[in-house]
Amino acid sequence: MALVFARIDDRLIHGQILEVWVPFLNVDCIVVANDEVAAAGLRQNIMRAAVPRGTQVFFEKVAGLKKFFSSQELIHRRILVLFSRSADALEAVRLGLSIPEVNLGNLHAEGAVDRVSCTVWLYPEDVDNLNAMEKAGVEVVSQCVPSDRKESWRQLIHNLDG
Amino acid sequence: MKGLVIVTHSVLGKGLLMAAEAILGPLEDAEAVCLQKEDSVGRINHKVQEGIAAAGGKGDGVIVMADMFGGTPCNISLAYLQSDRLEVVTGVNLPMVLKFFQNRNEPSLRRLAEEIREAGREGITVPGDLLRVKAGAGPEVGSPSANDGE
Repeated sequence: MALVFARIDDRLIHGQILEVWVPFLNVDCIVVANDEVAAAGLRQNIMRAAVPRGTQVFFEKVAGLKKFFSSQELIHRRILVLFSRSADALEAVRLGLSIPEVNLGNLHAEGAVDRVSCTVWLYPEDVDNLNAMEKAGVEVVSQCVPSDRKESWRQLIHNLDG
Repeated sequence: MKGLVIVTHSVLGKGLLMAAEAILGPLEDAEAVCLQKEDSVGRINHKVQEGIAAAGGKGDGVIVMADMFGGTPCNISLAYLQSDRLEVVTGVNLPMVLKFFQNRNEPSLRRLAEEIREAGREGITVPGDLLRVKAGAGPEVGSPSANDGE
């Protein structure tokens, strides 16, 4: 099993994932780690229908992710895992999932929230969660699509102080 | 008369409506919802709702065209499918938009959606194939002997 890419993206499976990241990374398996979607058959069917043939999709609760990743079914897979929020990614790391790097894709918000890039807004609790992930050894970066420059999130929040 | 909302990444939807107007003249009850990279899911929902209302969502029914199955414009639009006054068609192209305006008085929303789908499919051709069929099993276009007369 190779966990090729972990991303926080509040849109989960959408155009950027299907048209750009999947072919760019040559992954053959997408894992959506989200408690709501894991319990919503219709949303799963829609996402599954959009994914190209040859790419497997799994919908898992965050709490079950560590165990799921040890299953035989994934042994030869190249995997992209999607979280919709920073709290879920942090929980997965706390439960023992090994994620070397997490990508901030789309984290949208409205109102009095700090916007750190074109597609990333961070609430104070996001900053806390990402800090905690970093302490646990996860590198936190931002890159919406492969053609964007990959930036450390430290650089992004540093810009806020200026 | 049905309304139309075209929901797309960036300005594609607006461009399609402008192209349709260039061909058909001014159009009523047709809205483009253009999603920007920085729009939140909440904001997108708001824009789609506004588009549906402006296109006549309370009247005879609305067709929503989205640019790509599985893309955000489609994913968000599907949340409005529960209404029997709304049908979503994906993979929007100009022949589909034109077909909508030609057939928007069709009473059945479902039937209208099917007609639009067929128009979209028929609009995609590789005209070179047609030329080659016409030329029969003869030499390929462009080969030196293709036009050899006496």
